[in-house]
Amino acid sequence: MEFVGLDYIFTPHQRVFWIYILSALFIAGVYMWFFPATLSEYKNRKIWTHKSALMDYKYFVVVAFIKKVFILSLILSSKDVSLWMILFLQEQFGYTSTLSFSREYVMLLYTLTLFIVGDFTRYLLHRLLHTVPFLWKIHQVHHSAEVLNPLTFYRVHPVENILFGLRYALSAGVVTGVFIYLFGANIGLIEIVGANIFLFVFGLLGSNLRHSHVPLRYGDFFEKVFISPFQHQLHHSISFTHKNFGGTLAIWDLLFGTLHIEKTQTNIAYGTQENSSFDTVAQMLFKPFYKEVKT
Amino acid sequence: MKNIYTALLSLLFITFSFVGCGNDNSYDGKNGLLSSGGADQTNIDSSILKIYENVILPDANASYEKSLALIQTLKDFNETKSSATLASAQAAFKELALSYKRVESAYVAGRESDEMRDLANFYLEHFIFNSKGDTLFRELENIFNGSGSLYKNSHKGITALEYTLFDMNASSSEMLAKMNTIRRESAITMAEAISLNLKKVQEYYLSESTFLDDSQRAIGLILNQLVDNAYKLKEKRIGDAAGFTLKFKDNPDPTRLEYYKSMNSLPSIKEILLTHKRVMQNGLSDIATLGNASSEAEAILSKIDEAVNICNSYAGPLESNITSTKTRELFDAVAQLQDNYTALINGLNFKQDLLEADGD
Ligand SMILES: [Zn+2]
Ligand SMILES: [Zn+2]
Repeated sequence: MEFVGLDYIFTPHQRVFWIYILSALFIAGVYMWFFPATLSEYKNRKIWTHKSALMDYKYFVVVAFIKKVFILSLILSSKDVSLWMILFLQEQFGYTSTLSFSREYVMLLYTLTLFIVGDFTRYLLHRLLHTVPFLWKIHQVHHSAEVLNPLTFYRVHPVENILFGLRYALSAGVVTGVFIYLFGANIGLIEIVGANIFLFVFGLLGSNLRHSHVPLRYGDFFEKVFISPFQHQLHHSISFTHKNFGGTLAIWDLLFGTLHIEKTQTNIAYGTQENSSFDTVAQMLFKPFYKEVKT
Repeated sequence: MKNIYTALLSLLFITFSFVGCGNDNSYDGKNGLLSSGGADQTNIDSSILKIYENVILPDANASYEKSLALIQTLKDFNETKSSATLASAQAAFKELALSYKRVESAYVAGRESDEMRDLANFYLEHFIFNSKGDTLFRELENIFNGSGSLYKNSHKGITALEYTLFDMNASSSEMLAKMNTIRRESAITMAEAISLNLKKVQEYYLSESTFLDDSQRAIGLILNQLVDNAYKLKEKRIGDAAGFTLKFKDNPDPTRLEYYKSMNSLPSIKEILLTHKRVMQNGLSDIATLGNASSEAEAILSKIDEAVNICNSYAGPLESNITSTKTRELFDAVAQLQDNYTALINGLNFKQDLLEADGD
């Protein structure tokens, strides 16, 4: 396993992960300073050494390997989807001499569109994972976490990885295809990385705290626009499992009636009503296929 | 509390080190082209400089030089009125026309500046934009008859000059007979106007062009230019005449070829293709390699070679072979070339084909 990601952390132009980490630590630190109850919760519930957390760590290593070796090669690439989309549009509507808007404007529009469409398809798929019975069995692997830490983000069944990968390839591919059809090479080459500027900005606001016990809120108004870490924690609570499907934007939840806003509280009970539990990595991988799960 | 932070920090560290190999779809995790600094950026800059120094600028210089030579031969012809000097004027025209095809193929100036775009579309030549309107030729006939004057820009472009100097079916003595004083002097006026405009192109590239200012933008300009040029080559320079386009479906007519009168259409198609090849070989292929799109670049080069080979295999001029099966092959090859450019644009955009495979 090459530690390619280490490059990322130290490459100043990249997604600059270390800033996410520092900002999460910083926000958590400030939060705990003002609300020491959060720190007590970490101590009392043994968040880092809880058996659910230990499962997260083990599962993370295994599933990273599975993703690398088996899944990535299966998923169609957004590059192929995009080329297919451009050629399809040219066949349907003819070749267009590329529109000549200013490059900066096109890049901004592209980045914004990619972000919004990407966030919407995330919402849709996440909601399907909760509503289609078989998919819910799959997704319970993620919701079975009894305590939350940043690695819980990767506590996702490989089938869910495949679905999210397909979703990404399709949405990024279609958006990019439409933009190249209209604007040609003007869209700013390689700006697919730039698309993460939006995710980056919202990442600074605490994306790593979504799976944590730091109940950071954005306030009643902004939580109708952006999903706060606490809103995702509510999504992991037994009481509000089927609310707050959103990734970064809350507007989809607001629009489709799945938004839930709640006053900050600590010591929330996390998990599912089905009380789905997984004792081994093998169970997490295979149980969804054979075990009847109450829905 | 410190322990928690240390634990959290090291965990996140490990997390992200895995994300690197988990999220990159078959690529090596290098930086994106746009966001990259250092060596890649230096290589991109030098590739763009190469395209400018080895293709764009010398082509602009050469076409201006050719225009000066053309003016001289036309003046000689105007003095001697011999078929020999007419033949050398005609030869000089063909050289200029081919030289201009080079300039036109990689004409990023038209994408940088509206003024330069208009210069190419409304002053220098009128094939693509006005097609070979009969109107222009009727007006020119009137001018040569003494009942009109060269007052429009279209009267002074390459398209008009070709009409003035050539008539495919005419023998050299017939052509010489057509070249009355007005026609001879008009030819000089046209050549001087063309030369002036080519000088503007040359000066633009020398002092105003922003091509070298921003390499990323330059890649976009040259790629958009090449894909557009390939499209026009396929559609206007081959398809319309061969009856392959919707507009002229199954209605081939060689008079729709770009240089029908001078029977210079096939050489000009070849010159365009070879210019594409020079742009690729003088930097664009290297940029493609840096952008993990070398297979797309190779596909372009092999399509260019294929199309050039088809050009070389014609037994005679395209003007008299428009219905040959080779024309369909050439059309298809250039259509594929256009798609290959699209694939390159797409490929460069996905140097880093990120994959978000994680849920929430
Ligand atoms: Zn969920
Ligand atoms: Zn979650």
